[in-house]
Amino acid sequence: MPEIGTISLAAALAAALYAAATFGMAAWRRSEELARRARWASVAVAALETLASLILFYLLGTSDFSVRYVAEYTSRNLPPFYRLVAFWGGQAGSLLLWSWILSLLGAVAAYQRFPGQPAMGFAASSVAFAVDVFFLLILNAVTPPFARLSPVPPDGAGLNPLLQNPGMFIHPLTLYVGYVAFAIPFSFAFGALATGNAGRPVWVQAVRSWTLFAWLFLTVGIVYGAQWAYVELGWGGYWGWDPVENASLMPWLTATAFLHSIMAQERRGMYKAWNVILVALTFLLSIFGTYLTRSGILSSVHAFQDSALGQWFFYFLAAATLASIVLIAARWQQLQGEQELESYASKEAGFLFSNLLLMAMAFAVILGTLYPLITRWLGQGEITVGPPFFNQVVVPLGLALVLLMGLCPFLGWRRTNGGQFKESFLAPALVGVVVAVGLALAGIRIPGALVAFAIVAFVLSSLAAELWREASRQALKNGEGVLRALGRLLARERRRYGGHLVHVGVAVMIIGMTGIGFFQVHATQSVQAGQAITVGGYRFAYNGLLEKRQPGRDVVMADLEVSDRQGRPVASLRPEKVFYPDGQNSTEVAIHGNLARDLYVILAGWQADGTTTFQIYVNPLVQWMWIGEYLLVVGTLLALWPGRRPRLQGSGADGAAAGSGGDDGGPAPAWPEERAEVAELMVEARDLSKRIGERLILQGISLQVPRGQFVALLGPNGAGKSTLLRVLSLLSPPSAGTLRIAGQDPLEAGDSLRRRLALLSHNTFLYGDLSARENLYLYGRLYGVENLQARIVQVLERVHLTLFQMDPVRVFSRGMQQRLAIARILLLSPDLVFLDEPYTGLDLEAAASLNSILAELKAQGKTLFLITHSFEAGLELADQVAVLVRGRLVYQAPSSGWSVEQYRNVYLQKAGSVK
Amino acid sequence: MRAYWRQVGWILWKELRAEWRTRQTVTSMAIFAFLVIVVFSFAFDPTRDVTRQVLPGILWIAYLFAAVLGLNRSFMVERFNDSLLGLLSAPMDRSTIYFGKAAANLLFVLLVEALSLPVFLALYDVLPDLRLEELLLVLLLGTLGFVEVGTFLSALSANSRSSELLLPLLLFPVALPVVIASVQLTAVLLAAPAAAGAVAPGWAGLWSLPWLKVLLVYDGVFLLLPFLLFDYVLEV
Amino acid sequence: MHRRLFRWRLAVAAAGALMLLALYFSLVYAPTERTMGQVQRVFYFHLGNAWNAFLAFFLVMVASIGYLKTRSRRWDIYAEALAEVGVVFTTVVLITGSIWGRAAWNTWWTWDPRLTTTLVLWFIYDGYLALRASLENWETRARLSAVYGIVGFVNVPIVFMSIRWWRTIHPVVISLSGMDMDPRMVPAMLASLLAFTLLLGVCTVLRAQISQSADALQSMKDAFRQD
Repeated sequence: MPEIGTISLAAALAAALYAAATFGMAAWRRSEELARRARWASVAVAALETLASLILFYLLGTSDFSVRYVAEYTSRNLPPFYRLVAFWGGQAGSLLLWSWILSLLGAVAAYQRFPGQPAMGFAASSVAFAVDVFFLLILNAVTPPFARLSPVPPDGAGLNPLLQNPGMFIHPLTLYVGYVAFAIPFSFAFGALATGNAGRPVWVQAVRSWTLFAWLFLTVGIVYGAQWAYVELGWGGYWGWDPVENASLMPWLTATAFLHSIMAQERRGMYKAWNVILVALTFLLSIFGTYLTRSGILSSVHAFQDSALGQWFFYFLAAATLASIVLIAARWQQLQGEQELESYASKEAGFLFSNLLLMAMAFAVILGTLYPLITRWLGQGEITVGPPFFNQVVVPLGLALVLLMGLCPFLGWRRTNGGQFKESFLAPALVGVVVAVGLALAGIRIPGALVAFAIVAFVLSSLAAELWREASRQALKNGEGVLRALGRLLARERRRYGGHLVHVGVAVMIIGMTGIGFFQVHATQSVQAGQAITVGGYRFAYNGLLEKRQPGRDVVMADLEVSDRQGRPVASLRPEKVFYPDGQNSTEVAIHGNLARDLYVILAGWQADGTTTFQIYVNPLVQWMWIGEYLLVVGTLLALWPGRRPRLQGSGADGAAAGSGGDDGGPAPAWPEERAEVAELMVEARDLSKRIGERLILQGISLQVPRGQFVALLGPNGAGKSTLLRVLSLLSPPSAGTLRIAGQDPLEAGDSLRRRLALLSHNTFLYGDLSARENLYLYGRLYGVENLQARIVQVLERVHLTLFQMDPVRVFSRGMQQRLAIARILLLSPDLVFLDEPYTGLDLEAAASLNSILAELKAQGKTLFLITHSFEAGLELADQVAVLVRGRLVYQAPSSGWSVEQYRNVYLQKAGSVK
Repeated sequence: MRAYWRQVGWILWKELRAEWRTRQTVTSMAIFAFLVIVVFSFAFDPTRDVTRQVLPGILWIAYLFAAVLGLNRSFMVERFNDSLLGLLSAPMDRSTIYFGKAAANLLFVLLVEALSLPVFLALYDVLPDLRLEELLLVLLLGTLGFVEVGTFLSALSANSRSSELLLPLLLFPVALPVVIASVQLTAVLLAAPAAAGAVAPGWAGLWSLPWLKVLLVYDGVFLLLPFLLFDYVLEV
Repeated sequence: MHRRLFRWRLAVAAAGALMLLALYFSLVYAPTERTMGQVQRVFYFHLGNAWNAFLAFFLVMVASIGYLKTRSRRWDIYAEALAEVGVVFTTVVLITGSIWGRAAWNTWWTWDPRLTTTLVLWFIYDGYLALRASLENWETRARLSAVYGIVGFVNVPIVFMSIRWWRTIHPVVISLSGMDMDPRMVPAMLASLLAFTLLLGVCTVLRAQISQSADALQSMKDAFRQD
């Protein structure tokens, strides 16, 4: 059974490689056919990984200790539920989980349609599966989950008791889904960048739901983790700024920024660069977080330690970061915003500020988390930065962000109407101030808390006011009750009100955080049975210790009765310490909570004489955090709920995409000739200029050469004729202006357009060591000439070189070499021939021969471009003459049937000197 | 994609064919390599123990200096008749020229190495039970790295008048990691198995040293970098 | 124009002042090191130059990329200036490193990874200058040296890692940080770093100005010849 698992992982790796490569090819060639195959491969990857995961579940469930992973993380006495949950209790299993989720999400994303830009989807899927390849590589080569253990141990090591808790099911799972799911928006961004679509709305539309989905899971993972830490870990708090916790916070911050700023791109085409950077950062930070927890470079309560694995992640991270930077830099032009920021009091500005705030917070968290590394590197030992730093930096930024959150409903797009703003802003602001003053009067004096509560009040009232205003407006319009209108509104404008609900949830959470943050009261005391501890206005009477034996654990409880100031009984609490047969122990906190406060007691320890030590916390308002969390989730679900299709159709994973763009379907055309166009103009240049370095060699060149015409280009030395020829023959790109060869843009048509051109120069381009025949063979093959052998024979015959075809070219005379060069041209049979002073060094006979060949070519309908200094030959065939002086075309005219005399006169006139 | 590699193939064919005509370069390289090996045996007494320690260095110096001769000619031949322009005007990506020439250079240098290795082994009386397959891999990877950069820099230096002087000057500092890694690996492979500090036989042992990884990284980076930058070098 | 001149003068003055300050801290304020004596003070110059040597060559790579993207002569001028000044700084690093080695470990050269990498760096950028010298056409020169500038610097990390591994296999008892750091040495180090960085800037700009003046002269000559 484990072997099947290993094989399926290996097969999944192969399939993922195939999928990534084929999707990549599909994107490059814009081939729907290849994409179809790749999609099958992606389904195969998902299926294989599901198989492998199910096998692991099976092995865990049946406690097959011959597999090392099962032996390390489960034991016989572990309840079945935790045996399954141990799947992600260790390195290999959690990596398998990552990879499994990624493959499932990737397979789903592979079927998503991108109307009009299918290549983007292909590229995106390629990236997604490339990431999966990385994980599969590690699973196959570095930490195989199905590795065997020999000899088979009788029992396993068991799961860390801290992890034996229902939270163990939800927290890592949601967190991993959140992390992994960000790979999809990242891949979309990459796909968009790679196919040049990053500036277009299509990628924004496609990515929104995925981002919300991933953000939802990440948020739940983080908040649930905090909740779990509070309830289970038992140190009185919910967030320790532990590196692993921070690792989940960092991508969350950038993801939140992305979620918001993408609205600006949707509405106004702004912040495109921000968006790709944010989405790349989110993914990279989530990988970075994984690297931190797995590499062991930072010590943390819940890191996996394995430095070998860390190396791999580091390289992957470095490669992904480099690729992102390069790609973003390459497409920077496309990422320029379409609109300018018109006013600082606008929604767009709000997004900008929120981006900045969130980035600042992320930066602070990153800096604080990495500080020990930096100091270690600098050789100053490891200095860790603790909660005080984070709290001092992040909390004020966070509060500023929440304030912004409250302001945003009042800000308009582009700019805010001052009057309206004042109207809507005044009441909630007043509420905030009143609340602050009221609380201050009630005895709360800590400024930070006052500010926090004021802001929360402001936010809540502003959102409530907004809701009321909209609902009443709707009610008035439709003549219905306000509440009914409210319901309709929520149902219809899910996205907006979902977002509002999320903000409400955040504000509520702030209440809780402020309560526990500023007003927590704590005491650690040792008492005997019968004594009491008074903390925060509550009296905790200790009655003694009790013991309870359960299968697999020994529990010792302390019995406490809690009463309030007036002596009324409030609760009875039983904090526990649990002992496991293998020597580990854990603490169970006793909590009694209501909306006002939590009573939180930890049984710290006891001595033989009965002196028992307790840590007691009174945490005001903590429950509001969890309430806020639920509101958050509901709000996100509301926003995510699929509804009426947005304007750009087909951005959901389902539904046939109507109107797929011209890029979709059909085999990729290989060579432009197959389109069988007959262009009117063979060469069309408009305002070409060419700079070499900073010197302007050509400027303002415009000419039109219809098919089959013969153009003679005259000019003095240094005029730039050769440069012009190089530009026209596509050897050298113009610095400015447009050029069309046979109606096509060389930049789009690519290298294949050069097939239709040939260049004959005073240099022959021949290889001296090869024979005449071999030279022709080489060029024939490079140009893809058909029927090559026969054509070579033909061509050699035409230039009378058949006798010498086997001789190396270096023994040829100048005339013979030139003839061979001509033969090369004839072989390639181009539509457009450029001749750069071909008569140089030819004797009369050779020149005449060349002449006749040119006439032949012209008769065949080829277009010819001749640069010459010799007025004797070639000119009588010309249909157009152009004179180039100092980089400009000073004269162009049709010249069919002109005499040599006429050419000379024109030349002397325009170029002003005799050769 | 297939067309691309076919074109690389044609460039390679051209190089090989042209070389076969005269056989000048490879023979000169081989003779130079022999010469270096022999001269070193005069400079260092082959029978002394100390010499055994510098053997890998001698081998690689012979190879690399011979290689530079060949690399230089790689783009110099294209100046004759301006044939580079002919290639550039062909309907193919310019990087095919790089890959074709690099492949050809690799074959030439490997040939020279194959010819001179027996000479070396004989003259210096290296133990017959040396680890041959691993040595071949090291030769391949090291030569590949050197040839990759060398071909690229040869294209660069071909533009200058004093290309024979310039190429080694540019090439050796940049190729230093290859030199170090190859020499270190060769030293390990030529060492007597019972020698102190010998590495475990087989691939695992070799992989435990950082040098193979250095070679792989270097080969990878300098396969990619020329591919990206080659267009700039060949601008016309 | 006045503002630019003013800022330039300010920069030069600042460089000079910082250098004096660095000299003071290095030679007077910093305590004499226990084992090595006064010669240890060369370390401050060594450090300042070392940092700037690498910085200069990093900037050469940046300028090279800038040239290839914009084809503007300015980037090329700065690449050249930075490379030249960088080579000078590197030479100083090698010499001061040698002196330091002599004082600390009684040997004129150590195969310490950082020093050896600096030596290789010196060779790479000597090659860069040789390449430039051998190409006449300025456009070809700018383009090809830009390519080499990129290749050269990309290679530096690989070279460093290779040399470091090389040295750990033949462990050198020597390590560059075998020095007792007194807190009073810190101002010397910082001042030296800053002073030399500013000096790098000033020298580069001066060298670039020379190139720009030469260019201006050449174009005047060309214009004259044209008519």
